[in-house]
Amino acid sequence: MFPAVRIGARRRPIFGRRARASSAAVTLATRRKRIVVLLGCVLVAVLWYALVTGAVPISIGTLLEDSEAGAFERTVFAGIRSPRVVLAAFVGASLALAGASLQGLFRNPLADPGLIGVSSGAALGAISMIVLGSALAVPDWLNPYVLPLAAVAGAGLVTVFIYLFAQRFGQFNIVTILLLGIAVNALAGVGIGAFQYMSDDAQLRTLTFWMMGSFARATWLAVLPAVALMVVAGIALLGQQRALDRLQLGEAEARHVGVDVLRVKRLIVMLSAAAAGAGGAVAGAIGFVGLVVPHLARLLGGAAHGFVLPASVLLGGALMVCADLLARTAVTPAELPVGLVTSAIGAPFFLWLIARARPR
Amino acid sequence: MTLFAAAVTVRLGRNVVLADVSLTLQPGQVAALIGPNGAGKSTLLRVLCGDLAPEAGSVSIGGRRIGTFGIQHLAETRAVMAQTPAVMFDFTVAEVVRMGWVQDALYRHEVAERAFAEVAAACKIEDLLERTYRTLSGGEQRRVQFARALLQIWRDNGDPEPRYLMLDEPTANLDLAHELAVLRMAREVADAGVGVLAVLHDLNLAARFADELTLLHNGRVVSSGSPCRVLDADTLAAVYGTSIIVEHHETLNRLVVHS
Repeated sequence: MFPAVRIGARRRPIFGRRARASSAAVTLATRRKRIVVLLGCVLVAVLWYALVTGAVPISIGTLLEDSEAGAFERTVFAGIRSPRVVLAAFVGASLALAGASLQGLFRNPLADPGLIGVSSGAALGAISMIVLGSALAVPDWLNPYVLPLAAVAGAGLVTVFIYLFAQRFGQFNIVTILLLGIAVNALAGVGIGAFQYMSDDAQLRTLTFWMMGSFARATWLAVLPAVALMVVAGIALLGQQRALDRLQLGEAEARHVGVDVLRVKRLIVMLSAAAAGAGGAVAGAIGFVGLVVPHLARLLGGAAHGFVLPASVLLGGALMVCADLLARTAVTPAELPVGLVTSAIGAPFFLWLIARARPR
Repeated sequence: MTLFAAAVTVRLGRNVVLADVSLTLQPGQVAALIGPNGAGKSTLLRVLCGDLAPEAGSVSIGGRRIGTFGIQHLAETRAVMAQTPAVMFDFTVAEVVRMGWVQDALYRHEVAERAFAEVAAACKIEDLLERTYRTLSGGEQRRVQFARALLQIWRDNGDPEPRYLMLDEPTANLDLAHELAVLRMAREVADAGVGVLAVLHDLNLAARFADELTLLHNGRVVSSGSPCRVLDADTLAAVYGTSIIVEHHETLNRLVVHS
């Protein structure tokens, strides 16, 4: 119609044009693979070191030989240290993974399981059990499960509440969820305060230790159900990496490129709550891991979730095992609550992150 | 396999945003939506790409209602570039462009790499690929998003499946040269068999690149058809509320609009 239009268009068609290959993408992918492998090795090394180090040093020789002399060490290794180290690794990994997923979902580097109220829900559940539990006639075999179950129930209740509330009154949008999280945190704070007020001295002490987080109570019996829940939720979260990447374009744009945004949002909120809730249930409230580890991962290898999610898992596991190692060896024979250690390391690191993130 | 909007009506609260709007978009054609601010252009685009279900009327592609398309199928059928979204994390440009690749079920990995390289070359963003997306200027981000949309509708030579490219003010933030480059590329894509629909503010660009224009005002279609027909000085003056001169420029051999 307007021949002048075609003057500039005397070129080869877009689709089918020859182009130089992008070697940069290849090298970035290779670098990421190397970092993940390296982090895997670090995790294995840290696990090994944490297993043989502690109030009772254990050598490989003692574990392998079958003599009277090593019986005590073997009992410590199998019944006390192994479940504790394994639990620390899984809790660190799933808190970091939940944090990374929520940060991606909310497109906000400050999102964290604590932000949407899941951690407060778990705390409220656990504390109500600490204070009121003695009034319930719980059979002995159920005893190790009561506290974790109450915490998972608390985390689950909060998640279901947020979900239903947002469904009923909002459109499950991100701002609604964040505001709900603030309200839920405040409400849970009321409940926690009330239970603290009601508790006697012994309960108050248990409660305080729970609020600071610890792996000291870990036994295989209590660890395995929580680990199973974390593994299932974690694998499902790892499967959402492509959707999480595309959500960074914005919700409407993510839908344009084929992401079922509503379904993905529901899925990630629920799975993160399960992963973080299960961790909190067996280990108490442990702060800053979910917030800081994904940042570290992004510093190492960029923002793509195909890298950030697995790297957060490995890094979170390794860091938590180290924090627990520090907690149990720094002041032997006494012990620090691991939540104190993570916050003492995490908070200054976070301040550094904020200072570093000035506009470029 | 045309995209067809039939008597679309959209209300937001008590405001009628679109009233009885009909539109046809053929593969191989560039169509432009023009009209003053608040005319309903972007809303119409959102209806056409399936973001917004109209209150009355329907949108169909090849006779099939758009609401019955699955999200993935729709993504393979049409690409959308709306306003430039802010990306919070340090994604590289290459990663952002690759987010447009929705053809995993259709092509192997090597083909995906070839498509990516072709699109990056066509959009001349090869030098940006390793940069961090959010450190780019507004115009550069726009070009990257355009490349992302192009990648989404990429097909290997000879695939006859009809696709659509929907652009909401694709030239916003772009300098003169890139403005023309983007629209030339839209033209090329249309020549390769894609139906292109663009919301354009610049009537001269619309006159130069579009086969079909639709002039919207207060949610209604004022006129539609070829640029010669729609770019009528009196109609435009009435719609935009300012005096407008339209002339045929001999050297350029196209319509030029002055206000």
